[in-house]
Amino acid sequence: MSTAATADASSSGDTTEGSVRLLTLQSEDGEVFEVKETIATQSVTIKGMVDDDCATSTIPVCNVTGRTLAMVIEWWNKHEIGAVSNEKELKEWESQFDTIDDKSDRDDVYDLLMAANYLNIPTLLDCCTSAVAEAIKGKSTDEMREFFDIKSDFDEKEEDALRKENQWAFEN
Amino acid sequence: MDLERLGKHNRGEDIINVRDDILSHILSHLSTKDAFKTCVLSSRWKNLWTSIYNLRFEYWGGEYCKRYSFMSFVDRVLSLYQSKDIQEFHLDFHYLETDDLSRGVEIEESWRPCCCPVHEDLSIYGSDLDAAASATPDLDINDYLLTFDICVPTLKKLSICHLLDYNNLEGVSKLEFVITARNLEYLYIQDSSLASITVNERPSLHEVSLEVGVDRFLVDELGGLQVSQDEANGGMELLKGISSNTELLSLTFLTMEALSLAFNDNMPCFPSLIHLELGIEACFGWKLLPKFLNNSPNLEELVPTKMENVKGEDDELEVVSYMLRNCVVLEEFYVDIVDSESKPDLQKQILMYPRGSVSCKIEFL
Repeated sequence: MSTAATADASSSGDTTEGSVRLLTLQSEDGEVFEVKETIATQSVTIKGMVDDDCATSTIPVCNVTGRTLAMVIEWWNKHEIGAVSNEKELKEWESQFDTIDDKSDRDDVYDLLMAANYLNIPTLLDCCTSAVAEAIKGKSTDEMREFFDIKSDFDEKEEDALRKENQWAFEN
Repeated sequence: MDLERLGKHNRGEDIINVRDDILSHILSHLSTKDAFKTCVLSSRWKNLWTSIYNLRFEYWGGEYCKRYSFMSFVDRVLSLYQSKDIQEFHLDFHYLETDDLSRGVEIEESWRPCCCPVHEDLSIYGSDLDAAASATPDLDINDYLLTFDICVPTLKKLSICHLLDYNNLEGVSKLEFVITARNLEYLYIQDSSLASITVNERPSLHEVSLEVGVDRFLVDELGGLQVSQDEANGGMELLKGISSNTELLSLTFLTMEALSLAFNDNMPCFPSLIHLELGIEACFGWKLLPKFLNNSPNLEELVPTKMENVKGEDDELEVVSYMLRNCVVLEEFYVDIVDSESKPDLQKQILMYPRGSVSCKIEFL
């Protein structure tokens, strides 16, 4: 999905876009993207900067790599009002986030999740959190620990007590 | 594609290092049971689930002891729950087991989790509640009334779905819903038990959909179960409760049938009503149509716009004539004439009827 995103991103940098203003975003690792202001303001953070007139020079997007930023821009392009006329088509495209059992897909979604949180993009945040939730649904606690790489700091007695107190949640 | 990542640490670690609100966002997508289970992951996770903003409980039957276990789980969650921003509260509670019906009733009486504060959206889906009560030998069914008191000032959307088990209708008992939610905008009720439903405080309703009544075909088949005058009056009272602000109103033909029984020139006014959808079938509902039209001064759109199976009988033609003359909001009207022999004559006759709406087109199917 990243290749397509880069292509999209570079085409949106085309200056023949009429009077649409372009914003310059720079990723943590130095990659530069030119994005239409109307698209980038899907990020509440960037919208705030534009509204406060702080978006005139390059906007540094710290904590987000160029690879992830390209994916974010692809998301913006797909979700621009009027960009995809077909609701079904959009759902289909979004469904690539549905299965993240594969580790590299999971990492992509985590990266997007962090970016969506940092840039404050509610729709993307919702999609990513839902994907993670879908992946942990029905998992046993051990599997969840493995999924999130959590080391329990409970001793066995404490955990048993929690389970016993709330029996129903841990049955079937 | 990610060879470079292989040497890297697990990204899951990044996730759990992020702020708690993202984690509660993730957990809010899960059933409350799954979200709750994360409390044993580690001490950091112990209370994380308490900030989720959707509560979804589901119980699909099982052994008796499990039901208690489920209920104490719900009670426990509600007592530990800390978020002040609940967006959705969903409780599916299917508890009926033939071997312990009597206990089911006790539980229902003492356990009413609906009283917890809900901010926006409440769905109550019930089935077999009545059957449980009726099958209890020690209980005087006639005196049995189960009340759901829904008093939530911030509630915006309420769905109540209560379907009877038609196979077990001996001595059906009564349910009562009292809705006090002045900011309610959406109300959807589907109830085949003809429960008593009261709407207080004239909520600022936008959209209301009612399916309140007993399926006529099942009545024919089973016999005995008919809408009583009291129940029908209850339906009319419900209509009064929602009449003052509702803009979009949809009443299915079951509802219309029940209302027909209660109609005694006491139809409320609908000053805000813009869009009205009425389930009207051959024998039911027509009687109420004139009243709806008279009492809805701001109506812009009316459904149905179709008259089916017209055989050319006098009463049918009277209805067609009435619709055309009185529905000033009618844009298109379809007439489906069954008999092809009399069709040309009927068409001529119908086209000659005076029309209240100048722009109304009549089409024949």
